[in-house]
Amino acid sequence: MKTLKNLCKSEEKLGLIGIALLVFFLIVALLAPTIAPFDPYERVGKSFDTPSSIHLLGTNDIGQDIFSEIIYGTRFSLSLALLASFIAIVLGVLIGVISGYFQGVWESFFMRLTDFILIIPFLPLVIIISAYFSGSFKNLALVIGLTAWPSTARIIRSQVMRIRSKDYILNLKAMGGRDSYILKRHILREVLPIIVYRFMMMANSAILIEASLSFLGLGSPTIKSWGTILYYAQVRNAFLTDAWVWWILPPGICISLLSVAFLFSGYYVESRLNPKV
Amino acid sequence: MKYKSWKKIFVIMLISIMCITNVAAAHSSVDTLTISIHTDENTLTPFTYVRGYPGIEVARLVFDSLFTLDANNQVIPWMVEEYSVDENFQVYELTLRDDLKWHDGEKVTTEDVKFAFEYALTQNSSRWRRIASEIEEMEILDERNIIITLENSNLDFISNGLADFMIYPKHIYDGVEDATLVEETVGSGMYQLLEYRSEQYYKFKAVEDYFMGTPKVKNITMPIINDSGANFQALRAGEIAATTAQLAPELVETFEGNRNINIKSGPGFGSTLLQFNTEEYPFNDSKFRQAIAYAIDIDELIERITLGYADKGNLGFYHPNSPYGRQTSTHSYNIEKSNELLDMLGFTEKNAQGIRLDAEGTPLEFELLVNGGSAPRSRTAEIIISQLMDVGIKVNIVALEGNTLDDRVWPGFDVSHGRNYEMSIWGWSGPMQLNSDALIRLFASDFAKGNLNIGGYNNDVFDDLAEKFAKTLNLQDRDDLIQEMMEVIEGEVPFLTLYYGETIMAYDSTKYDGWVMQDGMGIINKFSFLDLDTAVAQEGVVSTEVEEVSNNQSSSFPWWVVLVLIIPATLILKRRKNREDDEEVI
Repeated sequence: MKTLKNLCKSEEKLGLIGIALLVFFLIVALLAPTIAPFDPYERVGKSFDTPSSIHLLGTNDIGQDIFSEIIYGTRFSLSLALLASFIAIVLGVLIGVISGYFQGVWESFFMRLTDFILIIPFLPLVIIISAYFSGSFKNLALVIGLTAWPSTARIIRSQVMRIRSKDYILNLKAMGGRDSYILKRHILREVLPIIVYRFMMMANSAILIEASLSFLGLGSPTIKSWGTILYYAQVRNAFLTDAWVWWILPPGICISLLSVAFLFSGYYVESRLNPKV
Repeated sequence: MKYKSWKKIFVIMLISIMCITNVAAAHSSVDTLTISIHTDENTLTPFTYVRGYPGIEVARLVFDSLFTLDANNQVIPWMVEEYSVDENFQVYELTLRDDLKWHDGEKVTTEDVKFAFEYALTQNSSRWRRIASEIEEMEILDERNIIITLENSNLDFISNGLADFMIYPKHIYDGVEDATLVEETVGSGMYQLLEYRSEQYYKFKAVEDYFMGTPKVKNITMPIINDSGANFQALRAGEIAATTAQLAPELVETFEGNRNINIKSGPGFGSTLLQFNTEEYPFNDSKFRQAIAYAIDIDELIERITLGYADKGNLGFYHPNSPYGRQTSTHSYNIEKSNELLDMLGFTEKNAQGIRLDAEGTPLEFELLVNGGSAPRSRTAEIIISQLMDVGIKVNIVALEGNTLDDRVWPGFDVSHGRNYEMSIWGWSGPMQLNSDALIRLFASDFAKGNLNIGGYNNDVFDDLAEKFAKTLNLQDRDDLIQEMMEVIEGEVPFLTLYYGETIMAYDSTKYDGWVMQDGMGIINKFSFLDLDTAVAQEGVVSTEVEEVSNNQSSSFPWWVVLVLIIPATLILKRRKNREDDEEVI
């Protein structure tokens, strides 16, 4: 009993750390123009400059301030993570609820579609799709969102199936309750904690996928995202010079921190709202 | 005390001799050399290589051509011992060397030469087909003599055709419908391909009785390392002797500090350019293209992207060091002139974002396609969009994967299929600079002649000059015509050459130091492995060697000097020792 309590406490602590980090990144994203000393698109120094009091993390290969790039990168990474997970969650919930609640032909169709997407290795699938579209913000969010929904759909479907066979739902149906009413008022309300948890996990994945895609050169080369910063650092050989310390470590740490922030917040939501998941 | 100091001198001398011996050993005949290749080039046959560089350059170690280009890009006979050309430049009589052999031991004969040209016409390789299609007939006189007659006169058939076309064996390819299915790589070149493992490595063995002499390196192993950073990491760690990958400008300083690594650099002929689709409004107006050219600060591009390791592009096409280049067609950055031209074209009104509007009120907003996989090109595009914004032209970068970009700019690699872009960051490889007909291929509106006219450029004056050029056989007249065509292009700006990146190659000089820099191409060429006068002559190539050692110095090292030093030193030491022993006894 004591161990369980301790566990809950540590999860709470982790959750608080996660939320604090999220809030921190949110503030940085919102206040980017104020915090960043330079416009990240302006060429303000000489190329490959080392860190100095003017350029805290030096400059990149075309003389843009790396510190400002990272600050603005928060905006991109955070908003992309939120938008991509939103798309994935909406699709996943819609397909999961329809399949789980109505069953029949729709369930068969959606579940085979889900199986089909699930058996294709995820990252190669995303890479192929990205290679054929330009890596703009909208396209990246769509590519991630449209390929990341199946696992959510599966989980939601199984939960909806469990809930729909509960006595109170059967009673409601027997009393003539409409499907839209039952879905909105009861089913969705019950699966909400799972949706929130999945959203956090999706956002975490979206950050890593965006970083991976941009690092592989499949993002937009002009967008200031952490993945793009890493991509240019790698292709301009920062690993072979001392520049990796100020050009590769900081965006790498940011990616890890934001990812951890979503992960911890997700665990917290999971433990607080639905310990059974 | 005196004995000890003599001992010290002796030890120092021995160490020095050992060092000298090591350096000398690195330069004499080398048993095995590991050179990384930065792309997988398939089985390296004339029909399976993937890229112009490094594929074709490495394939030339295995396959020979009748003529070849030396280190200074001058044509020299190679498989050919004697040749004559008629006054119309239409009939070429060639005599093959007597000591040519395929790697499987068969003799190379004129049957192989005739077959190679005829077979190329049946295959899907535009590079070889273009050359072979110029031939009207071939007459074999005997196994060493052949007469090649062209359909039309061609003054450059040797340099543009015979020096490029690789000869391959009839007994291997005869009867094979698709040449890409031939798995054996049998050439007559200085190296025989022993083993190829896809995405892993190549292994070559020197042909001891090669007709130009035994190659200086007996075995070459080429691991395939796709990541350029990993190539240089391997070079720095001493795991490889050299790499086909060009050294990135940002690494020059780091590598110059490494005493084992030498760097050779020279003008590069590969261009990076801003290509316009001249069929699209407003790019169909030369004034608009000029306005864009004036708005681009090429010096900034060179300084930021290539860190100065590039030659400035010009309004024509040829590099100043190419046989057809000239210095006068310089580009100038002039914002006022750009604005003036844009105003003159009627783009005077601007919207709230400062973007100029055309007569219908549509903002001047365009797409610039770029290969997202090339960081220098993406960065070039990024700087260009900010420079064009300064004159009120908004450009959006569309980064595409290489093949997708090709599909938009050069669909099916056939310019007659049209094009689907407005502007693109593009480039032509180095060998284009060596072709006298490059301008015609790039700008002739008849797509049969202008097979590289990816911008759909159409100009009657240029076409007339191109027509004249085809009929002119006098060298001086042709040169004048090239300059005239260049002048037309300079005024019209169908594309803007931004820069020619320098060729920078790094190698570990302790492993091998016989590298020869071929102008505009690099160090991976047959002259790097042969002892030829042609390979040594390298005027105009800048060499930033860290250690002042060279192949010639080591081979002619005066060994007698070492002996003269060692013998007296030993004698003196012995005498000294004996004397000390005697003193001790007393």
